[in-house]
Amino acid sequence: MNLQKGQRDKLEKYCNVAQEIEVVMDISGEAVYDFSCFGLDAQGKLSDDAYMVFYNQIQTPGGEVRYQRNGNQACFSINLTKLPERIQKLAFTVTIDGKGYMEAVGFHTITLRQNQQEFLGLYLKGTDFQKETAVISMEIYKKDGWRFSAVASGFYGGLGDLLRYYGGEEVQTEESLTPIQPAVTQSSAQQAESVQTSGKKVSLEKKLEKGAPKLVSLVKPLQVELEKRNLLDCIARVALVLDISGSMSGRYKNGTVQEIVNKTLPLAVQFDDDGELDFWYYGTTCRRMPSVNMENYESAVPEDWKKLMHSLGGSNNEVLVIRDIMQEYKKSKQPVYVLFITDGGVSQAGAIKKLLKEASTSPVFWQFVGVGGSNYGVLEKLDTMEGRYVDNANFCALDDFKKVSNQELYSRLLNEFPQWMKEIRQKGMIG
Amino acid sequence: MPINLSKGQKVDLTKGNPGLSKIMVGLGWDVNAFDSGAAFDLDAAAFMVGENGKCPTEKEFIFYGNLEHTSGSTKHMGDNLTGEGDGDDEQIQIDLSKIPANISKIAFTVTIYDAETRRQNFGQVSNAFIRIVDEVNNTELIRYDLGEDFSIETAIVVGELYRNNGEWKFNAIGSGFQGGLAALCGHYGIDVA
Repeated sequence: MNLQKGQRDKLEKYCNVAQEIEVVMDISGEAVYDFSCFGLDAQGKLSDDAYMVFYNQIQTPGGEVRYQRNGNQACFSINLTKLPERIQKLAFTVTIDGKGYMEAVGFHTITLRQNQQEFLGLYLKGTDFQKETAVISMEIYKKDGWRFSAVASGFYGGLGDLLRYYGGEEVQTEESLTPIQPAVTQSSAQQAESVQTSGKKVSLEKKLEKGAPKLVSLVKPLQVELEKRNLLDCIARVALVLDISGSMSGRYKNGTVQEIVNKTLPLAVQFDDDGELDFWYYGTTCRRMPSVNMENYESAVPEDWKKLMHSLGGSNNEVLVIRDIMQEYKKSKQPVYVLFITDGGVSQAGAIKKLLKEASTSPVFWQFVGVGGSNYGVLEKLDTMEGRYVDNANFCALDDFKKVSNQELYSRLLNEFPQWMKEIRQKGMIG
Repeated sequence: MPINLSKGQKVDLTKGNPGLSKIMVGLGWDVNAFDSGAAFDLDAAAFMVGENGKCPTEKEFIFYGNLEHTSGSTKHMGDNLTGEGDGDDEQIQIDLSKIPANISKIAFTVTIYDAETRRQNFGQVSNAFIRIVDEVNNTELIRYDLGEDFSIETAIVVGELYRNNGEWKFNAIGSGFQGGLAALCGHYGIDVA
């Protein structure tokens, strides 16, 4: 039988689950493809590394899952009834090693066979995918007997994403493996000056080492970008605004939003005299949250974020939250850097434009960041928007948030901020 | 203690619960956390039907485009949830005493919006449930977890409230349809333009 993506059913209807089954995975394309089978516990986690079967570990301890590879075809021979009780799910995955995306594959098929007879097949093409570099092609799991699910979905962040999803060993993410460039050497006189005077601030590294040691790896990439832009001495309040409308659910669930908070906090620690992020969530309405600092940042996205999502309403209303923030900083004597994270679907173009014009006489810079891939509406046109006292806003897309290096990330976030700082200083908008 | 139902099970709601009138029907689900594909948009709806199993008029179809029945008996809370009642994704308030006499059954459904273009189905949705809460004391009376039985369907009739000898009962239907909300509308006699 040919399966559709998402289809699931009891396996016993199609084969004898007590006998060996072969899961055969095929792929065609230009990239380097790796196939793996994850043996997962009842929580869907890889609690025992011995049950990850792939080229480097070709079978489980009891031989219940065995792997064979022939060109771009992998065959997993599985004996479900012999699996230990704690293994409740087998996930069959394909990941791309190095360059390439799943959308470029010619085909990807998963067939289930018994006694050389194919009884189930899932036939996928490049058009069934987007920019995935890790796909869970098929799952076989226990829930009143063994069932299958033609998942055919995955992640943009390769094997690392899969391992995180399955809660396996913490792996070095690709970005932290990217060699960090040594502090910028194409130094100008201006930069030298700024480096000298930066002594009056306690070093970011020391602050993070003490307060949030997990974030220390962000120091170098951030500092390189700050130096390039002569921002090492900059003092500003930093505000973070997070879209919690329904379409953001996936990003809350997979930890992307918390990661955004993690990567933003060092900016606040660097810029801000009190080292805190002023913090808003918005959906249909908005709510100012307690400020985020090095002590509480890991719970900035609450475990019951769904509840928060519901109470703020499911759609996105930028206007309310922009107004709220404008009100808050109307009398600010310090420059304010607002990082505004949304996945798009921005519709109230007229009202947003009007507000940003109105806001352009306040020392508030609006850095809008798109994490959803499309339909950012008016946000994409900020640079050319007329009628403002200063150019007080910028937009950058971070659809590839999980993939960009930290340095690239900070480069995008800080792109227009220094020009704005210069302009408001020239116009005497801050003391 | 709520009663946990399994597919097809019917239970008394008002019998043994005299005075029960205001209830909240909560529907919830989880979508996967993958990067693949478009975002999911699931919608809950209520079809208020007569003896013949059809909605008398389109006003008896309560959904995001028609949030409240003229009788005031059935009210879809839309996206404006209070956050009360853990885990509900959408809620529908029912006042049993206000349900018009020509309505003998209210069916609660969940459909995937734009499922065909987005190539989505209930095989990609997990932990779907319906629960019925006594609004007066906020106690959960009934809960039905839909389990693993759906796959390529794009619409589900989750459960039904129905009249039986002057009392209201609940039936854990759990049947899936292909064709999304349009298919359900057809089933309940609503013309879709």
